[in-house]
Amino acid sequence: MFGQILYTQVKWSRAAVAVLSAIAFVLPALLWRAVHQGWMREYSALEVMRGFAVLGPALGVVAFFVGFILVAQAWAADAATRHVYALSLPIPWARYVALRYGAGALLLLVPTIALWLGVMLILSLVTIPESLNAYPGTVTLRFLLAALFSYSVMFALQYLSGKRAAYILLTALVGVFAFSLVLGLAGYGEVVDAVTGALLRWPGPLAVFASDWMLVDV
Amino acid sequence: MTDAIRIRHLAWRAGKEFAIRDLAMTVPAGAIYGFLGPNGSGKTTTIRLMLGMLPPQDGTIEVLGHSVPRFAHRALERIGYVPERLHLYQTLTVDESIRFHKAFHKDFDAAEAERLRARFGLREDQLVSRLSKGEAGKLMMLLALSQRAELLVLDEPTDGLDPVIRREVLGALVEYVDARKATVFISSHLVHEQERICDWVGVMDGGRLIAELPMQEFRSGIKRLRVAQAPAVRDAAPFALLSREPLSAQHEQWVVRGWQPEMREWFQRVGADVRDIQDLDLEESFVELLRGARTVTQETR
Amino acid sequence: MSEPRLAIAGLAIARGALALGVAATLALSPGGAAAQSSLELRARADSAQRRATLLREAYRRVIEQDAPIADRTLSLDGVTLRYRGMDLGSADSVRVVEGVTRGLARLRAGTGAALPALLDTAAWSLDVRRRGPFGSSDLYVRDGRTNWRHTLKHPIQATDVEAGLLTRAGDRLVERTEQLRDRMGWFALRPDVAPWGEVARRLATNWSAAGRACAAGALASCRLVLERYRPKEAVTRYFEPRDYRDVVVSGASSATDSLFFASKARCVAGADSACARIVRDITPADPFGGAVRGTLLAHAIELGGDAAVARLVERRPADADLEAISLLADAAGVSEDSLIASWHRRTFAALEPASGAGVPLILSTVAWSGLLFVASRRRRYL
Repeated sequence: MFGQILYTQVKWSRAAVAVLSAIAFVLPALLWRAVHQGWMREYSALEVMRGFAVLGPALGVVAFFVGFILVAQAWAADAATRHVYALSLPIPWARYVALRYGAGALLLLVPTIALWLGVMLILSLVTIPESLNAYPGTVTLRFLLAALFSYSVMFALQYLSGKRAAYILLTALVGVFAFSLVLGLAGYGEVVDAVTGALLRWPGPLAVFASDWMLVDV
Repeated sequence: MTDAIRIRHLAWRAGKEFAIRDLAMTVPAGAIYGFLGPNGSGKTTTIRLMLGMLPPQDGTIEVLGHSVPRFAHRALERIGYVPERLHLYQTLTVDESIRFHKAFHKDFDAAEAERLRARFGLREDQLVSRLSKGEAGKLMMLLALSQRAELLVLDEPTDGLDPVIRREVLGALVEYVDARKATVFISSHLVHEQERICDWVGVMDGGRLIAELPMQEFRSGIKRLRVAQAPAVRDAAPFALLSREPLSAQHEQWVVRGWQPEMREWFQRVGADVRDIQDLDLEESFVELLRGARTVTQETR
Repeated sequence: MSEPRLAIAGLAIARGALALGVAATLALSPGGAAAQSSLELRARADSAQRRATLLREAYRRVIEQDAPIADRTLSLDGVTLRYRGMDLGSADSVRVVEGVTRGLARLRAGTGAALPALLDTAAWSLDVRRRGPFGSSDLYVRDGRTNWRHTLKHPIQATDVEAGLLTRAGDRLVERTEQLRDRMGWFALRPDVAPWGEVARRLATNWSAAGRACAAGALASCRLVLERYRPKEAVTRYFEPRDYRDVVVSGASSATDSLFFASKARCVAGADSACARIVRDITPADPFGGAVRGTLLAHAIELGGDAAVARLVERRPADADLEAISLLADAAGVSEDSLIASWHRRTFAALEPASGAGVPLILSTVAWSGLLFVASRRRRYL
């Protein structure tokens, strides 16, 4: 069963996975190139740190889209027939959802491995300033975690019934916006900061996206 | 277990427009049950409720001994389902669709699937999205039959198909039923098609099951009578009066259900006389049944 | 509202009685003759604490008398407390008094007789203002010259007030000591909040060779970093030719004409000769900063304790000739090389990479993802 689910997932997502993997593979090189013009010259620790502090979040953005797009591809195939086929299969719905989730999550490994290969390639070609170290494993793992979270959010929004998911999302967006606006206008910015902090700082849900994505650091 | 499907007091509503009310249905095991009704009468909705795709708001549904929707997945292991519209993944090929379906049905007969594929003239590498309506219908029937299911639930399986393909599909179905003695629940608005294969009939209209009877009774039990000196009171009659309308000053035309020859005596007892008895074909019987049910509904409102 | 005369008199009487009592205790205790010479509280920590407790109790008794108060000020142990936005008897105000007494007790333990000279507490005032209904506060510490504001996202606590006093005292410490004026002092008496990690990171990624060498463990380079910055010798003292581009990009420039900007553009684009030419003409900015040097002060106080603070507060004529490192090593009671080595260990133990994917982050992300997955398994229908 899982084999066939994975097969269909691969078939539907292969073009997207290929594109995302290509982007993930070249991204480290693009980041390094963007740190400063020029390729194989000696970089100072400062410019490397500054460069990655500014550009590193691009990894988080790509991770977000990896998760988002992989869900969209699979869900679209089921949604095209209003999930009639999925509902007519002789397995509990929860199990079907688990199979779909697992297959998609497995596919997240492809762009992640592509990123890792890209990181290792660029690290083998450039010279890192002596006081700094490279963290290819850390950045790659964080990329995978970020993609997994993004994937899970999109998956939940899609596979809950459409109406319920729409209500939840709309309520959350309107609620957060109204809350921030009212409190901000009333001068209680620290409450807004507290809520934002709760989302972005560990163990908040967005902690994996926050802070620097430093491929190279002290 | 003697009933393949048993539904009691089923209720479901979508908005203010349409509702299924107090539906009771029994499909005996081994029967070929024709589920008739005009478009929009609730046939597809009832089937979806039966298969656990919609949640009932009241009532009980039991399919092959399993309570639905709670254990729908257990019932679906033994059900071959052909929906009204194509429900397969459009981006898979015929062969991929067969393999996907096989992975979820443990009794799937791959050899039978291959045989049917060749018989229906479907190419392995054809994309489902590129299949014609007829080819799509054949593929869905292929999958349902290859499952070796005890119960086939077919929702308008030949709707929109040309006569040749319709004959192919129904032919395969009849062979399957003959060989495996499966129960078949087939929904359609094509009455004459049902007549050939079904042995039970359920008629749906406006969300209600207005009649459920053996095909033989449906076929022969509905008659058109020309009655002279027609009595006013009809409640005590031994048959169901579906409609009555005046033909002339002396005569009325009655359409009755459940007619037996000895019921002439009842007319004599009430001072009336049956001048003519006309057989109706299935389609006319179906129309009169609907008309009778709608008349009753209007009178009770 | 103003404080009633009865309350003021009562508090003064209580303080006087307490002082006499302490003096009598010291006089009657063994060694009391030596301690008796000082009625100011060169307190051992426990004596200071007892006094703080007694003051607090006296204050509580004033409040419990429910006496009307004319204005919202209270003079406590030489520090004027001014209240805005909260009641004098409220839980906030009690915590403020506790914070003041604890802070002063800590300072007295370290600075002893020099406290008034160091801190000039008579000119001090604390302003506490509440903001909004969620209990946020602003704490203003004024020492007669500067007005320093703490923004707190919670109702004021005693620790906030204590921290405020220690922070201000640290700043005053460096201000009054010539050799220490090039370093930050706000964390001198609060090494737990000193930016050790940031300092380590700054040196490890520094655009000067001296800074990077210090990070790598060359203690001689650390000495250069921790001494007073010498701008006139900066180019040869702290930088190598490969640092010149970063000096141009990051450092200050004394040139503002268009010729400079054209050269700078060429330097940034990769022309090393343009960078070298610019560096000859400009004064490079201090690549280390007051925070780096300030950590040496904080570490010296860590090593030497209250005695180090007392040594720094005390002014000896010979101190004027001492370099900062010498003065700090003397205060800490160790040699200069020991102090620098110890500082290096302390600082670089706090060095951590910025981003990570440690076990906590992995677990929390997987947990959130799992929660979302479980939510998505809810039975759905057409």
